[in-house]
Amino acid sequence: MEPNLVAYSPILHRPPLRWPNGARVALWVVPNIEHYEYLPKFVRTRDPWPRSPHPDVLGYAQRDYGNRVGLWRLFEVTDALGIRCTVSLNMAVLEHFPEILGAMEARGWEYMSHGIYNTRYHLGFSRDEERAAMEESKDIHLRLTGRRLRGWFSPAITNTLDTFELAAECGYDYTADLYHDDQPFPLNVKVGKLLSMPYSVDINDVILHRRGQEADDFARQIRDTFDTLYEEGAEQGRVMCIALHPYWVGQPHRIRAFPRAMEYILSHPGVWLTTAGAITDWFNEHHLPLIESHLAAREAANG
Amino acid sequence: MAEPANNPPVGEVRRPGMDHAHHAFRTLTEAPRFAWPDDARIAFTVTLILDYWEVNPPADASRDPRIVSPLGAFFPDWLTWSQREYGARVGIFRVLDVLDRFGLTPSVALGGAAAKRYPELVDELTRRNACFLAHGTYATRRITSRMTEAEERAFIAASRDAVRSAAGEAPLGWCGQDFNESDRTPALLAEAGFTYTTDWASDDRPFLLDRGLVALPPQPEWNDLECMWLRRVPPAVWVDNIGEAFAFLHDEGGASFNLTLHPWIAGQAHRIRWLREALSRVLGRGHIWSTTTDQVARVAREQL
Repeated sequence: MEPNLVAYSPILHRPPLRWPNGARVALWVVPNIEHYEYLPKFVRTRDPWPRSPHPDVLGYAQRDYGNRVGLWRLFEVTDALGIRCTVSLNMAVLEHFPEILGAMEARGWEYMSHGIYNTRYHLGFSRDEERAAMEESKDIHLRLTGRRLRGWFSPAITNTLDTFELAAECGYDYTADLYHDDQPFPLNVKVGKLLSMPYSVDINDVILHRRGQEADDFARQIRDTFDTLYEEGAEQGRVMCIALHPYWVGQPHRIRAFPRAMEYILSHPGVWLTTAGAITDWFNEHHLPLIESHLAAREAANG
Repeated sequence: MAEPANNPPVGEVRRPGMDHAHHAFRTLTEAPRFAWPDDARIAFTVTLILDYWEVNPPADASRDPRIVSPLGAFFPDWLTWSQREYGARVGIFRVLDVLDRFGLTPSVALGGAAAKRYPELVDELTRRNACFLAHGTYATRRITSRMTEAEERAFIAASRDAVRSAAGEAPLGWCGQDFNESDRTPALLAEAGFTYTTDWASDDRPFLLDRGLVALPPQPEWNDLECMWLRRVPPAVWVDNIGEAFAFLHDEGGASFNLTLHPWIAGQAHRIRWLREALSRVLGRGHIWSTTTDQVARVAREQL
């Protein structure tokens, strides 16, 4: 049966979203801090290293570059611009690399789970297997940060039909797996509440990589996206997400294009540079009741 | 090699550090800023890949599946065979001419079959004092974990011996075909007398692998095959990438910069001007140690 996960609601036919202080755009910056296993311990539906019998030292090393080198260049950029990131995090990174945990904690960054490793796809997972990864993520986060984990973003965006019900049942507040809107939107889940937080697989550096595009193209797309959302944001608030991978954007030929684009954005008034947790809190407190009334009225009118 | 399981592990214990034993974790902030000769800010090397691509490889040979002709994968692929042969017959002379003009000494990853098939090129390169790295046997045969340890050991020895026969000295460096390895490779390379490998792209500065083997990063982001052939980045943007990466690493200091080229790609008539352009951007800066991979590995080893 076709799931009814997200009620249809065209953006210009819903109550206008107002961000704090009249901001037009809520911007969250999302580095993907990942670890790809040298020898993946399990493979079910999709081979994480299809180029070679494992190990694939080329693929492994190119990604490990992000944790060794690229991330530390990115820290300099985010420090200089005052960007507090929301990290899409393979939770095993916290266990393997305490240096990275310490550097992120010192900056007050926020984390959402991107699964345990980026080589462990959830395609074909049973409910128990998927729930176990969600629970283990929460356990690792609580044990190593002392805080509750709030965001779920499936590893390599690999889902099942149960992903969203399970994330809500496990107590996650938001998910970054869906790209249907420029605003957060509540998902239809039976237990608890789950918000869809607009992440981006378009303003996303590894997507450009696959298209043979480079850092200047990325910076241009960031600026163009911002210009459109900023203009539209005068009518009602929008979310903008910039998705990064330190192994790509942290390369020496790319690291200087990203801050140029960020400086352009931050030169505008009315930009709320924030995190997914803060967006979730604002939305749930100020806007969710309006959306729930809007959906009830729409349901009554259209059946 | 153990095949991966069908189910995710339960109760897995993870310890700080890498998920393999080949090297330690090292952040950019902890990495040494290497002191290169003459107070140079950066070490610069050019590696030429010289190998022979079989049109009819043995059935058990492992090839990089990303390398297919512009018109798709088919057999026999004389198109790809001849495009690559063009590099050894025509393209390399354009590349060498450019390197000569800039006074650059190439480091050459020499496949075993190429060492036998292209003696004129070995002479040309020897005259230029090139350093030779072993580079497997054929472009169509990679080391993988499907090999037994004995097969892999013999493969490495044959690759080494072919370079020694052609060039007169045993190579110190190993550049794996398609950067491929098994979990045993670094230890077997050390055992076979190699002092460094260019298989690990994890860094912009050398680091240590098993048994003191130096990992000299190959920086595939601006390798002509990875960048222009596979990702289809236009040549002008490839040049911008090289210029910007070199400028950034020059500024960061104590890094190594390797430009790996395939004569069948960079040596095509329409691309050679872009190689000239790239090198003029790189060499337009001061305080560069322009050298060979043998020398970078040697100096780095003393500081690791």
